[in-house]
Amino acid sequence: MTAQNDLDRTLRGWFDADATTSPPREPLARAIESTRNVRPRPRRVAWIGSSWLVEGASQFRPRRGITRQAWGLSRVSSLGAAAVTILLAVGVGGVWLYVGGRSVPRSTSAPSSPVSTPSPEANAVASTLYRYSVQVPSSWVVTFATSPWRGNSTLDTDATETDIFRAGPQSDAPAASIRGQVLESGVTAAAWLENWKAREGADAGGRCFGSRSAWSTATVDGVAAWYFRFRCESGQDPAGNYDDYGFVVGDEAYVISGAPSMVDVLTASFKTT
Amino acid sequence: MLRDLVLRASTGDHDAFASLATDAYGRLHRTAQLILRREDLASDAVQEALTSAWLHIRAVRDPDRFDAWLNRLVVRACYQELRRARRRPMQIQINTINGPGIDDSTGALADRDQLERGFQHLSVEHRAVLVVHHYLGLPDAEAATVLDVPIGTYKSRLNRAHLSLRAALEADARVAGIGQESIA
Repeated sequence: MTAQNDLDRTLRGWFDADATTSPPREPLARAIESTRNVRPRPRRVAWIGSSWLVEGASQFRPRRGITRQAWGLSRVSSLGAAAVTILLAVGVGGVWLYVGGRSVPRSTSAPSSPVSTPSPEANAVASTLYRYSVQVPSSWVVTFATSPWRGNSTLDTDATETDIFRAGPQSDAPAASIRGQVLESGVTAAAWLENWKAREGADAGGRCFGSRSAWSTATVDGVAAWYFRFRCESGQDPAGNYDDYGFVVGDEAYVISGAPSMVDVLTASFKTT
Repeated sequence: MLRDLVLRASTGDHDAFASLATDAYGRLHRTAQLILRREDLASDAVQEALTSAWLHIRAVRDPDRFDAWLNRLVVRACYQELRRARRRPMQIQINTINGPGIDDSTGALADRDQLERGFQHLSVEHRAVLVVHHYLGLPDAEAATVLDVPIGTYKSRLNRAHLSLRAALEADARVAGIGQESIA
């Protein structure tokens, strides 16, 4: 213990002695200057890559009886769950082929979506809170929402209300999210989407380091989805690029946002369950 | 005061953010410098952390935790800088960390050199945990938050960092002893 105390004291003294000089002011001036004409990211996507403390393991706070878990999909238990899901999917697919497929399309198709196909190594992931599943690469890490997306009037959200997909285990890895909410009584899909587009578009437009595209339509899970793309015009900050999709399946509205390549994978494989 | 500045900054008030950055800068830069042991990398890491803080300021959910968040951002930026530095061509390493004062004894100078060599042998994660614990002096829970690890991982990492540093110091002392014997 004495040896440990000695080492503690020595280290503390060494650090304190090293830290006595005034740091150069140039990095501070550069940081302030470089951000002066840049607007912060909109609240809706600001959490992506923010490393905000709620994502830290020590901030883990399960709510409403739903366990929030970070799934490393390479883990044995997750692989088991994924294998079961894939087997179920294959079985259901076989039945679907046997009976000749769906006879009635769920909705009119919109123009083709700029989506990519999940890799052959993709794993099926079913949301614990929302009624959907997606196919994602096995290297992705998923953190499920712990509370439902409220935001009836404001549509605001935070990280606890979204299923978060990261391209790797690091919390600053590229990320995308999916959140959903059941339409309130009397609210039609068209009305919900118009409301969402108005807010989402206003929030993204005119802000900071980039601009958003015009609204376009694509097909996600057989229904028409609206989307826009937000891109950093300088091209210097690809982490600031994101895509934003909104659509309504049945009585549930969904929003998929985040890193473009990841959103492509999610929109291509999204299925309601 | 800090809370008010954070709230103003999160509405896009850049002057408020500049005040926050100026207030925190000394602590952030020293933290980065202690972890990275290189002035150039430390400056880049702090600039990166502050830029990220501004871009993501609207992610702040609790203004009282802004400082902890900044600490986390700078530790993360240190990791990234070191990864980048390893990919760059070899550079001449100039250690500009404050040299000994004129009243340093020879013994203290030797201790500092020994500590510096031992510390350089540690992984960046071990350096970070020692700096967060001994320099920032954070309680365990907050230190774990800053390092973005569960508290159990933080404690075991801190223990391993101490053991690694002690082993490095002992190895250094043995080498120094052998050197002195051969001179004699």
